[in-house]
Amino acid sequence: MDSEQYGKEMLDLPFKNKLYRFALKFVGSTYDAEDILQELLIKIWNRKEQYADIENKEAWCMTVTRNLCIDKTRAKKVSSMDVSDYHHLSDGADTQDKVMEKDERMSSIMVLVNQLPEKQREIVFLRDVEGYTYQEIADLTDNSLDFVKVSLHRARKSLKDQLIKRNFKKYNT
Amino acid sequence: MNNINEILEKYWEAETTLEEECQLYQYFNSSNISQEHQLYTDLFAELKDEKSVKAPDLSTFITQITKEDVTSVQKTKIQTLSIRRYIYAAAAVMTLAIASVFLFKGVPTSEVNSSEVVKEISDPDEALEVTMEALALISNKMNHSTEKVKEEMKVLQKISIF
Repeated sequence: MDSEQYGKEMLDLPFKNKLYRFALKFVGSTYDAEDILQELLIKIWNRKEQYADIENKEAWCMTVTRNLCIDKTRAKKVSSMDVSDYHHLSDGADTQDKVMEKDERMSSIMVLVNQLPEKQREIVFLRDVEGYTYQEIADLTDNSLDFVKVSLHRARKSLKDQLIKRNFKKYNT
Repeated sequence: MNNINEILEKYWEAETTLEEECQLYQYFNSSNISQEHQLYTDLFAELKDEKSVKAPDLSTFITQITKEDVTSVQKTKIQTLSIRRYIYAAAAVMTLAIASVFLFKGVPTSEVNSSEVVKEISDPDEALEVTMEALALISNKMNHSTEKVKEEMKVLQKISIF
C-alpha cells in the first residue's frame, strides 16, 4: 500500500464527527473547530508509527482535541458559543412555521446549556450527546469519577430548575 | 409511567446507566409523553439533535498532508498568511502614496499669488458651491487612486501569490 493510500485510511477517522462536535462546543466557531481537526490530523501524521500502536485511538484523539481547544480558547478568550453558527438538520416533515417555532425553542435550550459553567457544560456534552461512560469522561477530562458525577448532577439539576421556571412563566403570564 | 418517573429522578441525580438514559430518550421522542413531563421534551430532543452535526469534508486536506511533507503544509499555511499580510500592508501604503501624489500634484508653490488663492466668500450659496466642488475634486482624485490599486492587485493575483 503506498503512503498516500495508507495516510488516507489512517486519517479518515471513524469518530471524526464526535471530535468535530466536541471542538465546536468548546470553541464556538465552525472555522476554529475545523482548524483544530486539521491540527489533529497533522499531529497524527507526524506520529504515524506511534499512532498505529495506540490501543484506544478515539480516547487519544479526544484528549488531543481537548488540549487544542483549550489552547485556542486561551488565545481567543471565547466565553460563549455563537448559536447562529451552529449546524442543524432540518426535519422535512415539519411545516415552515413549526420548524421556526422548533428552532426558537431549541435555541433557548442551547442557551441554557451554554450558561452552565465550562466543566459542567463539557461533561453534559460528553455524556448526554456523545454517550461516554462516567469513567471515560473522567479519563478524558482528567478528573475523578466523583467529580464527574457531582458536576453532571449539578448541571442537570440546574437545567431542570431553568425548565421549571420557564414553564411556570409560560403558564402564569 | 412509574418506571419513567424513577429513571427520571435517577437522571437528575446522575445515577442512570447509559441504557436507562436511552430509555428516557426513546420516551421523550415518542408520542406518549405525559403532561407532567412535557416541559422536559425540548431538553432531551435538543441533546439528541446535537448528534446530527457532522464534521466537514477534509479529504482534500488529507490528500495534501499525505502527498507533501507535513512541515511544508504547515509552512505553506503560515507563509501564505504572512505574504498576504505584507501585500495588504503594501497596498495600503501604495493607496496613501498615490492619493498624496494626486492630491498635492497640482498645488502651486512659489508662483502662487496668495491674494488669488485666498478669497473671501460672503454669499452662503456661493460658499456651498465652492465647497462642493472642492470635495468633488478630492473624491475624484481618491477614486482614481483606488482604481490604480485595484489594477495593481489584479497583477499580483495573476502571478499567483494568493
